[in-house]
Amino acid sequence: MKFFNASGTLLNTLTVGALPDMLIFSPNGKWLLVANEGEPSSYNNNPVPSVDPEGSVSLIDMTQSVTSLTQLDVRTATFSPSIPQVNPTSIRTYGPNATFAQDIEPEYITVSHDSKTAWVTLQENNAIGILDIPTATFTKIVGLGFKDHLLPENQLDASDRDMLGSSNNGIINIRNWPVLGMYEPDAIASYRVKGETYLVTANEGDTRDYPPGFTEEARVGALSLDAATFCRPGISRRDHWSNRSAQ
Amino acid sequence: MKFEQAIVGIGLLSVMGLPMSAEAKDSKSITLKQIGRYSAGVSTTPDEPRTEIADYDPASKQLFSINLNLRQLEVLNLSNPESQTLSPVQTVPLASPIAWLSATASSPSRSKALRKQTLER
Repeated sequence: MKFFNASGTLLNTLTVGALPDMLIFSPNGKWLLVANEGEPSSYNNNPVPSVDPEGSVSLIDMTQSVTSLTQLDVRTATFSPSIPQVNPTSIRTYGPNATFAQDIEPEYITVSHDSKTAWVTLQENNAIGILDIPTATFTKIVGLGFKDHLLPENQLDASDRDMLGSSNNGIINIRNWPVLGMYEPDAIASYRVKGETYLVTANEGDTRDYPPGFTEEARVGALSLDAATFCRPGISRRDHWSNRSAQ
Repeated sequence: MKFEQAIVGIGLLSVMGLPMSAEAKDSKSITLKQIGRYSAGVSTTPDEPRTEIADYDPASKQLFSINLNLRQLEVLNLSNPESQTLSPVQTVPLASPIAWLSATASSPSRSKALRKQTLER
């Protein structure tokens, strides 16, 4: 990580965890938190062996002047299966041959008003990690559950081919489908009203798509679907499914 | 996060029509109007961002953004954002072997704003 002043002069360089993707100051300015996403290179060993670094969050103590910061001011909070999990069945760890820490991919961070707690989106894992800043440890990993797209308020257009002239011919087709979605948030923010802290997440959704090593993307038309579940009259016959649906 | 757009830039928006009356306070709608734009150019690498997380420093009225393809930190002057097309007032080259540039953040509590950027890979 590189530090500059507002004039663009380089002040310092520090090493943090693998593949940092986002960073944020705590409200009191004391801490700088870095989301080290640690995405895999390929999940494939050809032409070079795949590398899957461990996801983590680095915490830099900014009490000193920037120019005097050293690696001693950097702590890194890591992940392990012993961290308590809430809604564990919705926490996704599925990278081929990945350890738990390698599989967790911190994406974005928000910090509490008192600068003591951070909430870290773990996008590919459909979860949020709760980080205790003073001790630089994750105290919980909370699975975000699933979204039932048969509920009236959860309709969606399942096709990604919406251009005029395409096979879908530009038709917007927002309706219920017999599937569960995952939130998989990217950005996260927090705010406080009357003593309660609220988290706001941008639920982008994402897939691991590293062909030929590993991909979880598939067209619905290429999947073997359970006829009883997916061909119920009046809900959605398979031939009504968009062949273009991903995941 | 995935990047499928070829051209990635920064849109500057103003928030209009936030009524101040008590009655209108319950209104859930706001209006956004684009007042300026900065294009970081066409991405040369599929699925990689030209620019991603930018950050604004109110003290210097500057916006800091990473340009991955050009391997540089770009500084935009937003003291007059209503110019439709913006260009960097300063670029800071970032030495190889940096292969990945991602985000910027500025300190909320220091008058001398600090710029960070994450890198590596």
